[in-house]
Amino acid sequence: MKRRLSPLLAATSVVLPVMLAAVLVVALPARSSRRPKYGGALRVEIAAVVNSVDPTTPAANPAEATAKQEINGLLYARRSPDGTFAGAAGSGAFRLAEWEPGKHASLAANPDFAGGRAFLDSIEIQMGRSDRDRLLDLELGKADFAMLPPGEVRQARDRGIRVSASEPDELLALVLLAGRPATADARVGEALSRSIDRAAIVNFILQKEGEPAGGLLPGWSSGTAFLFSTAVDVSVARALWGQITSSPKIALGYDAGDPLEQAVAERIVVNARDAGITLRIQAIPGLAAASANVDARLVRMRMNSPNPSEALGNLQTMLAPIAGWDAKSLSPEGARTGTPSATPEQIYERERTLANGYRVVPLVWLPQVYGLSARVRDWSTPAAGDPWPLADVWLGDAP
Amino acid sequence: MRLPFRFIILLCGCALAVSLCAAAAISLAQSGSQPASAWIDAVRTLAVRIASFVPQTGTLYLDFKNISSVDAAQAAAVRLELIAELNRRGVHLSPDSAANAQVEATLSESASEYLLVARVHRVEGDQVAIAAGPSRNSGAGGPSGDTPTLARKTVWEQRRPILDFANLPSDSAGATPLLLIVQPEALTVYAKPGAQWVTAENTPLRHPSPWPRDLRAWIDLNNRKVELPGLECAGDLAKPAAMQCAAANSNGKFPRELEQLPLAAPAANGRESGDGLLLDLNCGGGRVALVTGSGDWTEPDSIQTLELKDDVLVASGDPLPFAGPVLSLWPSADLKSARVVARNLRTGMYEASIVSVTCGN
Repeated sequence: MKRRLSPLLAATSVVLPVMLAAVLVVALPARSSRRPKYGGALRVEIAAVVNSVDPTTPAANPAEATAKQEINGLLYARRSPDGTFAGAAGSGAFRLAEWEPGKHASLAANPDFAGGRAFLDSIEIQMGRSDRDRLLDLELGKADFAMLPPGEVRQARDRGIRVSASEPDELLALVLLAGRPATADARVGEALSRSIDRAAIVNFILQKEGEPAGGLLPGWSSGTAFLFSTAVDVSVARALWGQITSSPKIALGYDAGDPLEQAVAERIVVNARDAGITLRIQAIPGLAAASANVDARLVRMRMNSPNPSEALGNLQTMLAPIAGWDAKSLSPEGARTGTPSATPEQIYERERTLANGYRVVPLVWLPQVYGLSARVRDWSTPAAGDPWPLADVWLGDAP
Repeated sequence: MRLPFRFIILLCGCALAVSLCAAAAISLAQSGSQPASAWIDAVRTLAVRIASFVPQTGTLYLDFKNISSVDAAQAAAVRLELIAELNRRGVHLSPDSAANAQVEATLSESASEYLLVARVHRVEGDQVAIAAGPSRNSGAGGPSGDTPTLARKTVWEQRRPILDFANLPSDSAGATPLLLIVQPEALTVYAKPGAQWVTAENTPLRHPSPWPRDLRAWIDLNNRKVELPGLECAGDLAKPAAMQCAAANSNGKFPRELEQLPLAAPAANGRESGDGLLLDLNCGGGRVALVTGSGDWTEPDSIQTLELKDDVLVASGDPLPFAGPVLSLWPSADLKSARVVARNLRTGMYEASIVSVTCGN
């Protein structure tokens, strides 16, 4: 490999011995392509329609809640342990410069951010962009950053889109709702769990972008996921269902705005039918599950931390009201779960107790998938619970 | 006269061969036992638990799996250690899977640590025991590499960012090695009076405005200064508390107007490369330069040697790989080697190392 010297380099090579004598230290980190550059606007497209970034205003649906969290992660410097944002809006790496509810947001770099001014001058967020539009805009270079559904990753890669995927950190689970007579018997949950072909969901619906879930924590976090079976056992499911004398008809709800939940719900119906379980599905608009007349529902929950103890504690807190988990019935060994002092065995015991109650049936673990334009530099996939690290991102020249 | 002399030579040769063999054997034994030493507590804990699960009499079939990122050699050492511990506790292992009890031991890993998991299959239900192994950041899981033309010696690693570092001349007594580490919030001097490094001084760095996001620092050994964006500290580098720090009018440029340095980076003919450094070292008639890769800070990196021959920079030798980005590349005081700070993406640790060049082969 040969490189021609630049004129500057050629000239200076002549005077170099003199320079070396005069200046012992010679360093040449100029014109480096790897050193970050300041400036530019990052074009972001999201599917959700966010009507308010006020953390105290409830979101209309899970997608809005998630997107709002991400935007607030850029606007606020600190986050409370419960996941809410503390302090003043604009104390983060960016400040809100323009806001059109449900349509567009413009964020400007905060020069006073304690963590150092972001490399980007601004972030332009377009809301309500469909899966197809986001893919197309990434492909055409009209967008720099967009979340992609896990099932679209293969297609995105085939179309030459740069893709970055996190560890699978979002649990898709079937939750038997508290207070429903049809699901009061623990054998209902176990029969459903054993009837579901999780591998088929991963392979066909998610196009292999995800992992079957038998427990409440993914293997990369807990290291013990292999102790929870994800195998289909239709005969056992059928036998368990046969033991339930009432033979209830179960209504399974899913988020009407989530094509993935719909596809998974339809798959569960097929699996349940094979085991003789009577199940119907029902789309639920927004976050209205509580008022919908369903016995179970699909939920998607992202881990708040890579730490298995913290993640399990948070999952338990979030799911307890809808699943009807009773803290008293849980093992005393797990009482410390959620605190840093919990041992791996205590975390496992707690997880096993929760899983064996079958109020929550884990289905699959989903990664967060990001589509990126070629000019996005220094993007690193955020760890579970971390906001988009867009303050570290800078824009290089498109190849 | 000639025969005894040959005999002596032969004797010396044999003695040397025996010594080398012994040294090699000791070295091999040490390297073989080293991986398990980091695991010994976990292995003992697990062995105790397994022993409590199985009947006092009878045999146990052990099925050992490694589903972690620990390399096969270390996993094998852990397995042997576990077998030895079980034997010490009177558990008799059988190669027959039809033994009285079966235990499935799995070497796994969580987000922060390696795990040893045992599952004993019993009629009344499986019993599980889990023992936490070493931290995944401890380096107990994987090998390291090197190349023949460039040699790398890691002198320090830590979780907090390292901006620059320097081995300083020994203290006034002349016996204690000193190491200066520049961090975003402090200048720290470590001393090594014995086998361990200890903190000798830790002086906070006060800066009026937030640091830029691509914060860098440069220890100017010859002028006894530490330069940071907008801040310059001068004085005895071994005594940071006594150094005088003052605002420097750099307008965000670091450590000075980069384009004014003698050499523009050897990114000639439009080819992208990272940082570059010219050494006062001549190999085969050409001055040696070091350049980093052109990726960003989320990718593994490398340092490549270039030789300046007839106004042309020629790549020579194999690149020295790094498991993460090279964040700074500065020359040593004698310009013969380089101080390199890199971030290991696998462990998350910041690593300070000296990279030296060997000419000739």
